[in-house]
Amino acid sequence: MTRASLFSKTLVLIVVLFGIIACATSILSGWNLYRNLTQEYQSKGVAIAKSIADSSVEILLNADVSTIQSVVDQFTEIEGVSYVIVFDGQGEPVSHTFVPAVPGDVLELQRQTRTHIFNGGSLTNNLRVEGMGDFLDISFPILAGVAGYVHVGMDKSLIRSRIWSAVATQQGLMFAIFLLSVLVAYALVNRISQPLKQLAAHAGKLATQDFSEPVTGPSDIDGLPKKSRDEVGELAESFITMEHALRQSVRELKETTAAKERIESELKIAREIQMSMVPKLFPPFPLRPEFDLYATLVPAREVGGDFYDFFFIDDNRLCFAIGDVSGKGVPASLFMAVTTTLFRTTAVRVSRPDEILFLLNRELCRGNESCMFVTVFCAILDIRTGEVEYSNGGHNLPYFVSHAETRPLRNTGGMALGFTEDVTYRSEKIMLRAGDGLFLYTDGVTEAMDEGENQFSEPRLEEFLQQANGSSATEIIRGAVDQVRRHSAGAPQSDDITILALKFLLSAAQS
Amino acid sequence: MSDDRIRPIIFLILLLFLPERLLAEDIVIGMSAAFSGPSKGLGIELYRGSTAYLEHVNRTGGIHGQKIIIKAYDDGYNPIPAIRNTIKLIEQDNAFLLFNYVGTPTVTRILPLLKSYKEKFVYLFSPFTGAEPLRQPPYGEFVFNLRASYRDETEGLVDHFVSTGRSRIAVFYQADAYGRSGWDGVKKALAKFGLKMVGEATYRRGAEYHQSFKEQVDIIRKVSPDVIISIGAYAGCAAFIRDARDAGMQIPIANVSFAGSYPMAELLLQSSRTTGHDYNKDLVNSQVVPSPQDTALPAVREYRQLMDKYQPLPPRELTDVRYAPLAESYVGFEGFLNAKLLVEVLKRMGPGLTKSRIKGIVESIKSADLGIDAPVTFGPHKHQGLDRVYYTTMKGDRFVPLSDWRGWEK
Repeated sequence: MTRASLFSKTLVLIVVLFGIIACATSILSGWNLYRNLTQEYQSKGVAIAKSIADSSVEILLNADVSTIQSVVDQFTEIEGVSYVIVFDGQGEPVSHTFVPAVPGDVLELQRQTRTHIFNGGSLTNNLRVEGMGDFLDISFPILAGVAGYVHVGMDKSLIRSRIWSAVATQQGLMFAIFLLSVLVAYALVNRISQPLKQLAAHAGKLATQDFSEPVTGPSDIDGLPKKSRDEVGELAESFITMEHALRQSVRELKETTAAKERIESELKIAREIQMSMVPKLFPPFPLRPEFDLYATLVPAREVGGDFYDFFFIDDNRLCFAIGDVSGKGVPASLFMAVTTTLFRTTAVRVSRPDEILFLLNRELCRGNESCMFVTVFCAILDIRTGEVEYSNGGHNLPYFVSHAETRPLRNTGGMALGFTEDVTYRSEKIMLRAGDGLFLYTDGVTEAMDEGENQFSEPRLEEFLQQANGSSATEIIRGAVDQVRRHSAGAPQSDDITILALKFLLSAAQS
Repeated sequence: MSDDRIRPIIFLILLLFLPERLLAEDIVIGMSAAFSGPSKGLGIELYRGSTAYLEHVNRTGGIHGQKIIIKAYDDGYNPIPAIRNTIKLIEQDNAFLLFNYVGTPTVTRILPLLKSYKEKFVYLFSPFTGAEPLRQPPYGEFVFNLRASYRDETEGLVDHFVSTGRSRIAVFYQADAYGRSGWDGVKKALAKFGLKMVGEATYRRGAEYHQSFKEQVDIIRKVSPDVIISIGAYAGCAAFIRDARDAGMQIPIANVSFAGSYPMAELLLQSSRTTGHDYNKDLVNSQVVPSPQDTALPAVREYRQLMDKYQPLPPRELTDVRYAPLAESYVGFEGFLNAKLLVEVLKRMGPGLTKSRIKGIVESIKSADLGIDAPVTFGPHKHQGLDRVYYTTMKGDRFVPLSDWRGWEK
């Protein structure tokens, strides 16, 4: 109903405007015309009366009234002159143009006129004659009234009819202009409202439209900006631009979502691969009563670069390690895969931790164009003696846990692997007695944050380890994970939590 | 080329020039009158009466061998066309003189023209009106009237009525110079007796017989007059008489010569036949020529004989064919007499007509006999040939001379 209300508003405006103009011009021109015509008629009447009076003097004195009548008759041919009457010196009418008789009002007016002092001019009276109408009676004395008087009656109804016809003509013109304006306004409003209606309808359709579907055919508002080069056109233009942008962003969103889903599924596979690369079967060596080993890798949402590994390099020596690749995601997990693979092959070859790290570093540095690095803690346990030889490549120092104490291992001072080839690593040794254990972890444990961004931190870990002294490796790890989870209490896990716990139970030598 | 073949060609060429030569020798007389409208009967009958005599003159040798042709134009009894016709007659048709004009409002308006054409010696002969301006300065010198004036007619009427004891006289008149002329005549005649008219009513020129005149009748009936003198054209007068009689007014109503007795009587007779009223009762018509039925007069006999003989038609191009011409009428007879006077004047001028001599010739006419037992005399200060007024009344459908007024004694 946009058009109707717009048009009716315009129409009301036009009607009011034209009404005011029509009234004002009618009154003004009517009044002007009345004044001018009255003046004109009066001066015309005066001229006629004067001319009759002047030419009648001699004729009246000659008492030839039919000549006066002839003169008088000529003047009634002039437009606006209704009557002419000439009175003689005694006040008797001697010539007139009245049919069928001289009205009493005129005779009465003449009686009044005789008492008027003219001073060389004329006298104008408004005269209403019953049955004849309204007149402007102009009287003029003949020979100062001695020879008589002339009265000329100018028809006022003619003035009125002229005014009416002038006003009627004017109003006719106004009405024609009015009709034209209404038509023009209708066309104009239609021209404005039609595109608006189209836009509104189009907008309504947009709401129910599937933006992901490709556009079929041209839109019904495509032609609007060209058709109406005004604000409506601009509106349509921005409407079309908006729609295009909307479609574009929906399409992009869809593509992004699809890509993300694809990546996510790929990541999932990557994670599964990653997870499959760390040993997960526990207890790992059921036939070896000398130690108790448990490890876990709680992955964060994305694939990370944490790993752990353990294996026998010969009958009596167990190699175990924990690592953390810098960064996250697929690159990290790939680097981790490379690291674990290289680690195994290297460890089997050289069987000394410092050597393993040295060689592993060298291998990793080769072709590490992406400049990734990995921290690795590597140790070899002789299950016969409980001697552990270890070397650290930039990783968090594991804790030594015994009845007496819980402390980090002495550092070997090596840097993370992958930076530069010519790095040598030192190794250290520590003797485990029955009941002693090692606790290896990644920074996912100590740096786990609660909602207040407070890290779990080493002191808390140490405290936990002291309390957990005497528990099995499995219990310790579950407890640790539980503690960390409790600490972060609902905050999303930002990093992999990887722990490897080894508890030495008895050595052949000791037993 | 042989003579046999040349002769007819020469004859044809001569034939081509002949009418023009003849026309050049015609005496063109100019006439402007009512040939249409409610007063057309006046113009037509006046023309026919004149034509009857002129036809006779033309057929019996003309005036010194010249034929007299009336060049007539219609003015419909209106002043402006009358002025236009007059100018045309003078400038274009080179009329020898103007003749048989009809009506006071028309003629009074062309009078100044005669004065302005003074150098061309344009004279107006025998106009069909009795108005005073034609008989008085400043224009009287350019007009030669045959008929008596309205003043003569109205004075006679007033004198006769007052003598019968009817002194309450009202006037019904046409609102123009003609009506005013008659009105003034009545006024002046009454003034002789120290009387004034008791009432008056007017009507507009050009009124038709079918129009109602009750308004005028009412105005006049209110003053209860003894007599009504009516100064109008026949259609208006007849209608007034009809309405006055219908309103029960049985006082005498008098009309002047211009009313055209015959056309008026004709209208009233028609009404009498349909309503059964005798509208022609108690009517007096004053005339300025004797009755066309008074065959004792030689001119009447001549008029009737020539009308019979030539059956003159109205000017064909001016009148519609439905008009039924009258066998005889006062107007026609006046036209006949006008033509006799014209011929008399032309004859007296001798061969070689010059306009400048007209005035002197006419003013020298003394006691000329037109055959109506009334001598026609003109003089330098007398431009009206006749002054006798004849009174008539109607008996049945006939006009009879009114010699005994005692019937209306009060």
